[in-house]
Amino acid sequence: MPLLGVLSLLLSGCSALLKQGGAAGAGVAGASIAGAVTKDAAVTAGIGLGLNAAASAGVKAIEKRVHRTEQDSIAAAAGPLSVGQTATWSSGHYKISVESNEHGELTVSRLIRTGNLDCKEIVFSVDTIVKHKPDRAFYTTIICRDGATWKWATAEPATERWGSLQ
Amino acid sequence: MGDRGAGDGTLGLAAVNKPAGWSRPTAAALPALLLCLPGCTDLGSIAGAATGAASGSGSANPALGYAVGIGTKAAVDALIQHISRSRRRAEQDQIVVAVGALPVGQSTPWRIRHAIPVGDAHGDVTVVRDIPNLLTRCKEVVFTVVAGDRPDSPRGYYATSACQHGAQWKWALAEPATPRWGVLQ
Repeated sequence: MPLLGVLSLLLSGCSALLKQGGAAGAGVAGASIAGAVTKDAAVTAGIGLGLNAAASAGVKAIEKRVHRTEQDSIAAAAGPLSVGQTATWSSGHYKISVESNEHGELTVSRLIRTGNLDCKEIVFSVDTIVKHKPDRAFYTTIICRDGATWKWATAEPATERWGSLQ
Repeated sequence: MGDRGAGDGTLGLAAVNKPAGWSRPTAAALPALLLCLPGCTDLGSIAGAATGAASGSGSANPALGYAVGIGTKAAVDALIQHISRSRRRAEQDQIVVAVGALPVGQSTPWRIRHAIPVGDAHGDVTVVRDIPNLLTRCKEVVFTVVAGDRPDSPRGYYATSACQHGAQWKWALAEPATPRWGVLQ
């Protein structure tokens, strides 16, 4: 499967390129095969576009699953902490990784408890090496307890702020 | 087909096959690209259709036309996404640049002027809370965005968080939970 080859080769980062390149590659491959058996441009383009869309959806699904694992590992590491405690987190290892394995430190900055709700505001770092020097980027999020597991709870941005996200 | 860089390969094919057909749609796409920088998601499709049609008409092979079209679409989409994100990052940086020295309850104006004067905006940013934690300094902020300088320019209120990253303050609000991504991706 050439597409799987592309997926596993582009191991880390560059997910935009992966999304674009992988989907375009599948569409082009599909169109070439279709072009070999039919001279009808509409059929060729249809097959190509269909494969392009399918591959694009596939890449997005993989990306989302990998990212969910990272969110889950951050939430799980922060769940048992109370305000002022710190812990380390690591996104773990994947068979096919569309994002690099990330790690860092996290701490709880606020408890959000009301009624049955049990949530925490956390600050976490993503530790990387930039130009041979350790670099720490910090982010905030909210996690909430769902039964026994802690889950990422931050909602999507307001639609007015999507702009370039899509 | 090649595993690497479908875009590159197809661009090469097009150049060999019909060099004259290339420059016209590309030149036509460039001003459009500059004009609709903030959140133009259809440009890739338009450029793809233009180049696909141009190369398809110069060749009897429909697959070639399609390949050129979809390769161009992928390349233009990636470019648009990159440009849009850099511009949005610049705006985020401007909104939180001054919050470090700002006490809770205080406001300061912010303004972004892009090199290409499209999507310029300004507003006020107010620190509403310190986020006390052991890792770094963070603050919760509420900001307004006014898109334009007219009295009836559209405006909105938004909340986010900012943390100190080295000497700078950076946007710190993390991404939404994956079940809420839906149409975002």
